[in-house]
Amino acid sequence: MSFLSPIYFLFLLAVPIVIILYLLRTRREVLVVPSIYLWKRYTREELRYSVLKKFLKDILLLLQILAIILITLGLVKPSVLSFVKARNVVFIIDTSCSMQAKDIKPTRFDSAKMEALKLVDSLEKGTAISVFSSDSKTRFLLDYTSDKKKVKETINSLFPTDTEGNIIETLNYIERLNKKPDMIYLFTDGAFEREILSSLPIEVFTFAKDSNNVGIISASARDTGIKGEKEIFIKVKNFSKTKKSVPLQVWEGERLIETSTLELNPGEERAVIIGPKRFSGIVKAIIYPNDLLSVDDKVYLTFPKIKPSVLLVTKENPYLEIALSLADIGILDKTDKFDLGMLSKYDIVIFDGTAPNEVLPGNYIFIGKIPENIPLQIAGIETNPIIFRIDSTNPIMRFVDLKGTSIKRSVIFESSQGKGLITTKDGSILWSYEGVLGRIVAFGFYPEESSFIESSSFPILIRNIIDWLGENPSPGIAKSGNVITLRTKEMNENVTVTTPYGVIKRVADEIRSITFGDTYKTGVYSFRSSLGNVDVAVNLCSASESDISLRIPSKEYRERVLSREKILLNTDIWRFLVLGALGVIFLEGYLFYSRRLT
Amino acid sequence: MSLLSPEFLSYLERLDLLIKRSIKGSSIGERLSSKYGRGIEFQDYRSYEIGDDFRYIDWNIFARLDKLFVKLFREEEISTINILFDISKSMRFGNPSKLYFGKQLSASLGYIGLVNYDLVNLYCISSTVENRLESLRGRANTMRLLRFLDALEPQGVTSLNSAIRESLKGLKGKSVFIILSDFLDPAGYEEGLKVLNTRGYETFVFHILSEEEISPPISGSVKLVDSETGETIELDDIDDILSGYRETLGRFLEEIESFCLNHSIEYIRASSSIPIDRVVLYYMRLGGWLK
Repeated sequence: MSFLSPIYFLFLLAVPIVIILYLLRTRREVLVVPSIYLWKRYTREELRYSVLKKFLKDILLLLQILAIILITLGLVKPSVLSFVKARNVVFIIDTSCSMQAKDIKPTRFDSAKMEALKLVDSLEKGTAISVFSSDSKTRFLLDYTSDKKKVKETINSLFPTDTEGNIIETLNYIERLNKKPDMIYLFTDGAFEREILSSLPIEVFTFAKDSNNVGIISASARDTGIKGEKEIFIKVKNFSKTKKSVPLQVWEGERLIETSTLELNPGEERAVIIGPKRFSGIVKAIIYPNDLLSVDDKVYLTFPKIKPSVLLVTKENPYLEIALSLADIGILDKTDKFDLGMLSKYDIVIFDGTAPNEVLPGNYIFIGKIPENIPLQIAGIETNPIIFRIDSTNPIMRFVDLKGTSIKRSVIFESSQGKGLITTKDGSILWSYEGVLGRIVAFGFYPEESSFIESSSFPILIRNIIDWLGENPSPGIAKSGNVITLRTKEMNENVTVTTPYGVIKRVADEIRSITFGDTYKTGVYSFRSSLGNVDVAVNLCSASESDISLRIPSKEYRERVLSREKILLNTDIWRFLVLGALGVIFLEGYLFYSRRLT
Repeated sequence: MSLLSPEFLSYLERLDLLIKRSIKGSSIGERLSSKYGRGIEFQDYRSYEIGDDFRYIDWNIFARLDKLFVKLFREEEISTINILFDISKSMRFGNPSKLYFGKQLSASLGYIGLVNYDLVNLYCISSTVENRLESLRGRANTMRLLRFLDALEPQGVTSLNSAIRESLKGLKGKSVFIILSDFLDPAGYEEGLKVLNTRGYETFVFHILSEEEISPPISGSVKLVDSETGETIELDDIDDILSGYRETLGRFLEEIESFCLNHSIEYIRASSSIPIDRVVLYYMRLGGWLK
């Protein structure tokens, strides 16, 4: 029992005052009697006539004291510090990567699971239990049920993922639920960054002892500017409390291309650069730190290359055809007639001097004419337009030089969307767009009606456009738990995904892409579609997950948890207490006046 | 003479104290003694022995049996009536006061003794014998007795045991003790009465109560002061505890009564508000004190 306004206990001082007044009020008549022998004998015989009994007998005094006590209790606002009666409980099992650490045998996760199962058994019969797992995603596994067998089956079916944890997100999710739990039981290793800030009662079971871990916390490949050559950046960090000598090996396919040993002090991180080199296929970097968590000891990088298929719709344009032949194109088909159905078979469609009224989402180049459903309007036609600005930061305009270029005539575009790549004082004459309709580049002028066609920058521009339009939307590397999106050639195309944990079939959606989110294991995910094989490397690369130490000391945790186990419930009974006091006062008044009348 | 009316005195003249035990007096009187001697009441025969007075030989028996037998007679001796009258301060309560009622009783019993030629001793007691009037005999001492009683004032603290022991000093023979008291003595009365009983005195106890002891006319919160000791007791809500007090009083009276019954002591109690003629002529006769 706690009191929200204990200062009002001072009101109890009224009790001795009432007693003193009561005693003062008692004026005794002095009477001389033959002998007090019999009276003394009576008081001796009748134990009830003790001082205490005398007070107890005075019901009016008692009622006054009772009224004061009730009023005082009402004023101090009693609150019951009690265990929350957990009718609905939520189990959150941390399935993040750090739960695979082996400092607690067999692993943190297995221990957590066992503890959770024990807790399920110990809960009162009839308690409704809901189960969530928490890693990079919050998974709602089981709705409230009192079927303990079902709950245990659900917990038993869990396994740790190779993803980052996000307990806070899970707690936020649970807080937003309509049916709020009375208690949350969280089983975690505490390897998360932020403090738990939950308004709901929560008990945290932590499973972490040691921090002995070295992990690769980032991996990326960058262009060097030299065609095809890339550098691989790998960052390794020592999270343990001792100095570590960590051998590093880098494999390209089956070939060892780099080996070194990293001397890492506690807390030190080291970047390793491999290359520049023309990497191909799958590159794997492995460290051998002899630590507690193995998932972060290796990373994969893939270097996919899909050459796009291109449909050129033109009557005749040899300049353009030559320029396209220099670009990195897989298939190049040419036609002067088209139907919308055939467009979807190509990665890029080039409309030269023609355009359909409407286009489906895709990658398009429009020269001279534009369809009506793209977010671009024709503001007018300008002869000999003077180029006002070139957006040289755009990858399309890289290495494109328009000095001395003259254009006979050009359509001037106006658009609130997209980007003007080449603009005159009245608007843009080369425009690019990336949005719901895919990627679009629109020429306001015919290249053959300009001196640009003879420039060496023209094939560069075409190649840049093709590279941009044909760019694989998904890089060759992804973070575990993240969604991978890949384009397909056809709608509803079957895509076979070979994952580290098995083969999965997916069907492409209407905009010719598949989204694949089940990347909860690190490794290489191979997507087989009509465009060929695409390998995507999925890595953990998370400093917060590799740091397997218990961020918040367990003692502090425990204390905090204990403070949450008991919820200070303002019982809000002061109204009843004051009502009771009023009732007592009325009763006292009634008794007082009824005595006087008799 | 205000204590008793002449009419009442004339009634008393016809009464005598009914003494059940044999008395052992010091001189010849009106009451049968336990001794054999020169009385007129035949008691028994015994064989003649040398030295016996020839006048007591029953010659008729000698004629029939040819043996000498002597007739034995109960000796008649004077009886002493000792009246122990409690005049402690507690006796001044009641309407009329217990003291006045005691005076009337003492006068009545004393007068009965005097008219029957008994020796009457009056001891006025509290914690000791405060005052005494001894060796009264014959109705000629009536006025002396009444004047003595009339002059009495309440005094002292009740201590029956010590007062009885004090009054026994110098007394000889077996006689009668009449104790008139309210018995409101914290030290008790048992020891004194036992002494009287073991010494063979026929004891009469008259327990005088006042109406204010039976039904105390008090209410509310009071501070009661003991009239004898000055001790006080504070009581609240007397109304609530009166029934308990009456129960205590009832137990107290029962204790005295059963004590007297167990020790062959005559016991009568009466309130001082009852007229003396009714007490003497009705209660005492009914109780077998007077005949």
